[in-house]
Amino acid sequence: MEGSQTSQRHLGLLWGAVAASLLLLATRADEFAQTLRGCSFKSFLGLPCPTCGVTRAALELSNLDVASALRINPLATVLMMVLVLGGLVAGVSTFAGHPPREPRWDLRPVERLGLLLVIVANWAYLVANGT
Amino acid sequence: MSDEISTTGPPPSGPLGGDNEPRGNPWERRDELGTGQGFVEALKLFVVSPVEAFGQTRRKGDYASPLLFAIVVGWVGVLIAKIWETLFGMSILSTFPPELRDQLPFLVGGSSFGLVLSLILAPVYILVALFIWSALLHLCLVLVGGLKHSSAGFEGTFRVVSYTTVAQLGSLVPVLGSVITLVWSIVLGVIGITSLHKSTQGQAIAALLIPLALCCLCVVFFLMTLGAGLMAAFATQG
Repeated sequence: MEGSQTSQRHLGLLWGAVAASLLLLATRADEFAQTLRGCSFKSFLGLPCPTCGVTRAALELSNLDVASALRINPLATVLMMVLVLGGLVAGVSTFAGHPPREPRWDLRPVERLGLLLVIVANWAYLVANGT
Repeated sequence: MSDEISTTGPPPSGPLGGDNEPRGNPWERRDELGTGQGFVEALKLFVVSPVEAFGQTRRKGDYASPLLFAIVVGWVGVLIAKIWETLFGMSILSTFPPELRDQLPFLVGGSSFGLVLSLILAPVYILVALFIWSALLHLCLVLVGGLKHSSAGFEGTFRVVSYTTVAQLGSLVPVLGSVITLVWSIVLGVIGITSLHKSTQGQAIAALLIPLALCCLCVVFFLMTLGAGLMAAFATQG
């Protein structure tokens, strides 16, 4: 029981630290992005890969332009916002004595299928949008 | 007399503690072994006998131990990679046609200031990378149904990813280091996931390969483009 509470506290603090680090690194996002190469999948096949636009969406988010980020890659934008905002909430609530609890991870097949469909739908959007 | 079984003294040291929870790998038992010895013993065990190492690894309890281990090992990996980059990058680049050298700046190490800065910032990058990679891998494990029998939760995945940084030692090998590290990481990942999450090997491989396949496809296409460019450049020179 004690170990479980320690784990929850650590998770809250770790997630909070990651979110804070990402906010700090966001100030240097433009410089970091220049060191990255373009997507070879897209340059070779002419189609975006499922993760295309993540860097550009992150750059837009670092400039607080959520709408543009959502247009580039909706799923990645939502996940990045959950990562950062969720991390800040988790960190603060852990300090307040309420560490985050893990959800149930063993999803039913229909739930897993739903998750997969969300990923495929996002990829279809990237292809249609020419991201 | 000598056949008498002693009822005093420390309990027998098996791989499992109470409630079938493993006692911890040497790094997780550093309070009794000492920090230095615990680290070295754990490193040796993960290199020589990863099945036994992950078998001894606790499923839950704290995030600090695996995180600290990964930051130390990952930092050494970054240092080694930077050294090879500085030593070999320029000599490899000198074999390329002049018009291609400007397009391959990532083959050479940066300035010494940049090197020091990247080593200072490395723990932050490692922390962020560990967490994001663990989250992605965990999502893939959810997708393939690999957490059905797991009681370790996200912490189990974080532990696997953290201790898998041992594969960074592959970067000790110049030039081929990154390939060795990649393959070794996959092998350690499969062993870790099957041990900590009780997933099947197929589920572990699938979960690891989903994100890697995306990255690898990008790398394969990049290498093909680079190869085609190189051949064209050498052909025009010849």
